[in-house]
Parts: sequence; structure tokens; C-alpha cells
Amino acid sequence: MKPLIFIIFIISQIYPSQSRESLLTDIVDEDINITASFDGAKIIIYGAVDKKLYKDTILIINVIGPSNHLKIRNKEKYLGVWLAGKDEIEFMDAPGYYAIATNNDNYTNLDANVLKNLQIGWENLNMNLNYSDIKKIDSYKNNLKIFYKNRGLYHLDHNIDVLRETLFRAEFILPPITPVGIYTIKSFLINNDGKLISSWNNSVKVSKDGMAEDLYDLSIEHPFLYGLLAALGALIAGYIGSEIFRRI
Amino acid sequence: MEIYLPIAGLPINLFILMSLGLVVGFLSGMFGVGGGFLMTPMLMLLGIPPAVAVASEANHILAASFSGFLAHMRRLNVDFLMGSILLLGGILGSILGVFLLKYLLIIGQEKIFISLSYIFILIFVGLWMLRESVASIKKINKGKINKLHEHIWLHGLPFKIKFRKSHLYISIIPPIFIGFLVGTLSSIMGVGGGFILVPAMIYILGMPTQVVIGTSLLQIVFVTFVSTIMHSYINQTVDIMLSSLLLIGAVVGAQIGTRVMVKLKGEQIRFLLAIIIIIVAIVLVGEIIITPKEAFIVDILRKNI
Repeated sequence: MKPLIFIIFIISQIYPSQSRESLLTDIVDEDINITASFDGAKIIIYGAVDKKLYKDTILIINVIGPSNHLKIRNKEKYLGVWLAGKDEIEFMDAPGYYAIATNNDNYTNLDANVLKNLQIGWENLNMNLNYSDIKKIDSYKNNLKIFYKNRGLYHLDHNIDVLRETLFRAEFILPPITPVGIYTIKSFLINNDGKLISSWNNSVKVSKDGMAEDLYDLSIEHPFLYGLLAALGALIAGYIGSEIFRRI
Repeated sequence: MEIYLPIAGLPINLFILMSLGLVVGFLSGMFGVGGGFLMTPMLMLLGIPPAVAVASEANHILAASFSGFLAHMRRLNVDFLMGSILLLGGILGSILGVFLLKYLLIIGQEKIFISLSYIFILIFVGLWMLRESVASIKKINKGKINKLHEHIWLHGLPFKIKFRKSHLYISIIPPIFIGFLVGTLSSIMGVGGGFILVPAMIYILGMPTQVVIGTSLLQIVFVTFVSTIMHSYINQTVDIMLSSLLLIGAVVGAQIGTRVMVKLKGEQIRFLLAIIIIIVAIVLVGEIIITPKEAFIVDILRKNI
């Protein structure tokens, strides 16, 4: 019942006094736990904007997943066969998930510098690349976008639902393979001239529970122990199998 | 129901995985082959990263072959001395294979390497089985003359040892070499290697047929044991979830397979299996020549906390 409490809180904050904040958001569940057999999960955000500012403004919510150090390689056709090519790039800080929700799809027409400074949109995210070749960076960034899109890790299709004229709600779908860690939610209220009116940050912790995640952690943290466990487990399974074979 | 494979990093349909285990287990029960050479390419076609398919299949074979080995050991059909000599080569070979795979992972060519290895082996095995099954369908009931053990020059190399169980007095160099070759193959392709080891033991080493299967299983158990640990330790590519799910299907499948085998004509089923193998090979060829949906590879080097 947290959102209701919060909505009341927001309303009480915004209506009577002239609060300094023109934008407020909160997350329904700040601790999202994904279990082994799941269909993914959702990040649900509620928020409110100052009534006077609601018209003629653009609201943009960015959800940025925990970052990875990635290497991307191009494939090339060689003697009729597709091979990993020599051309590659490293992203020191690429988010593992990215989604945008907005009440106005025309936000892309805003001044490019504004979007770049606020890091709104995949193209404007600073992924900490040490390359000077902008064309190459853009082409690989686009490849990574396609990679995420195919796996449900990149969404532009989310809408902000306006509940009442100042209250809004947005949902972000996390696919089963979404990375664990802290997700940052950056909300911006921008006017039509591209001036930032207000911004608000939230964070959500996504964790995965169950055997799959424990196995993954073990395989990375104690690879030898994991291997020994895999091998001994297989021997035990084989022994049980042979005992069953003998009896039936 | 979808289940998440932690190391492969993707969700997969539980039903598909179990049926795959069942079908391959059925075939392996019927033909007495490990089934790795069929399972690994099928896993790759399901979208599991080749390096993970190979390593997890090695883990799966360990369980299956240990179960078979115990059965043969009870019947005393194992030449432990020959097995240990083969293993000397086998373990070295499997360690070499793991490091070879690590190198291929670093340069990003593991997929093409594993695919090409499979295409060659599947086409070779498929055509050989096709020829053999067609030949035996043609001349059913024609008795085959069993050759006695022939002494070939390989046996006369230095370091000769007496193998009591196999009634042999031969050099240890050929078995070490064969073990090495099969061990390498086992860890880079996720196969047990029985389909090479068994004919090699019969035709090259001249071992009596009744000890061949048990002894080759001894070698396969140890080699897959070592490669499971090494793959986990060096490459982090063994998916226990995947291998154990395959195992459940495979144990049941192998049971059914063993029973059905008694009732069906071997040549006809071998013919069918040969066709399946060739189809898998053709699909794999398609996979490497058709323009991929994603003409790039993304590797996560490190997760930033």
C-alpha cells in the first residue's frame, strides 16, 4: 500500500504550499526479487508534477541498469563462413538494461545538447569509451542496442499513464535475463524550449533468488569448487542411475 | 515452463530440454554410443553458447559413462592397466583441449571452431554409418569372419608391457597417443569419444571386444571428470543446471532405448540415425554460412558493482 500513502504525501506536499520540488517520484517496490521460474518482473513508478507546470512540459523517465565492462566484436564473412572479425571495441561502462518512458514522444526534437547533457536516450549515454572515432562508437553502440532489444533489455515502448492531471504512473518490464544490481531511475521535467525544470532520482535493487543465481555466483567466485561439485554430482547421479538400472 | 540456465545465461523451455535428453538418451541406449556428438550440436542449435554446450555436455557424459562403467566393472569387463595407460594420454589431452578452448574464447573464434569440428565429424560418422547400414541391409545373414589378433608394427615400439586382461604384449606408445587424441577431442567438442576409442582399441590395439567397452568407459569417466573440473576452473563454462536436466531425460531415455533395441532391426535404425546425423551436419553448415541476425558478438568482461 506504499504508493497510496505516497500519493497522499505528494498531494499534501504539492497543493498547499509552494514546494520547491516540481517533480516527485517513488517506486512501488524498491527491492525486486526475481526467482528461478519467472516471467521477469516490473518496476512500477508513481509520481506527481506541479499542477501549474503540467501543461507544456515533457516528462521523461530513464531506467538505467547496472553497468558492465563489455567487448563487442564484428563478425566478418571469410571464405563463405562467418567468423569473429578483428574489429572490436570496449565499453567500460555500458548499462545492462535501458528503458525510457515519456508522456510526449516529441522529446527527441529537443535541443541535442540538452539531451546530451542530461544523458537522455541511448545515443547520449556516456559509456566511458576511450575511442576518438565517433562513427565507430556510434555503429557499435547501435549494435549493442540491437543486442539488448532482441533480449528485452532495451525498451522505448513504455508510456507514462496520467492518472489525474498531476499524478502519473509508469511501468518498466524487466526480462528474466535482466542483470542484478542497482537500477537508477532518472526522471526529468523539461519545458518545450528544452529548459530543465526539475529532476528526481530513485533507485531500485534487483536481486535474483534461488539455485540458478547461487550456482552462477559459485561458478565465478569459487570456480574450482564449482567444478568439483559438478564432477562429483555427476558421479553420484551416474551411481544412482546404475543402481536403478540394476534393479529394474 | 521456462527455466533459467545460469551459466548459459538464457531461459529455455524445460520440456524441450527434457525431451532432448530423452531422445539422445534413447539413441545412446539403443546404439551404445555416448550421444555427446549428437547432444552438443543440438544444444548449439537451441542457442546455447558453444563453449557452454561443450563443457556442460562433458559433465553430462561423466554421469552417463560412470553409470555404464559400473555395470561393466561388475562383470569384470575392464582392463585397468590398459585403461590407466590410455588415461595418461587422455588427461593430458583433455587439459590441452581446455586451454585450446580458452585461447579460442579469447580470440572469439570458439563458435566457428566447434561448429567446423562437428560438421567434419558428423558428416564422416554419418556417411560411414549410412554405408555400413546399407551394406548390412543388403547382405543380411551373410556370416562375417572374425579375424584373430594381428600384430602390427605399432605394437613393436619401445616400452612394451604385458596386458593380462587383454591378452596383449604391446608398446604403451600407441595407447598413450590414442588416449591423448580422444582426450583432446573430448574437451573441445563435448563428446566422450567412444565412437573413436572403441574402433581404435579393436582395430589398432587389437583388444578383445568384451573388454573394449568397459575399458573405454573407464577412460571416458576420468577424462570427462578432469575436463568438467578444468572447464569450470579455467573457462567457467559448465552449466550444472543444464547438465543435470539433460541427465534426467537421458537416464529414462537410455532405459527405454536399451529395451527397444532388442525388438528392432539394428541396420534400419542405424540407417535412420545416419540420416539424422547428416541432417544435423547440414543445419550446422547453414548456421555458419547464413548471414547472422546479429553480425557481432557481445562479451561481458566484468560486471561493475
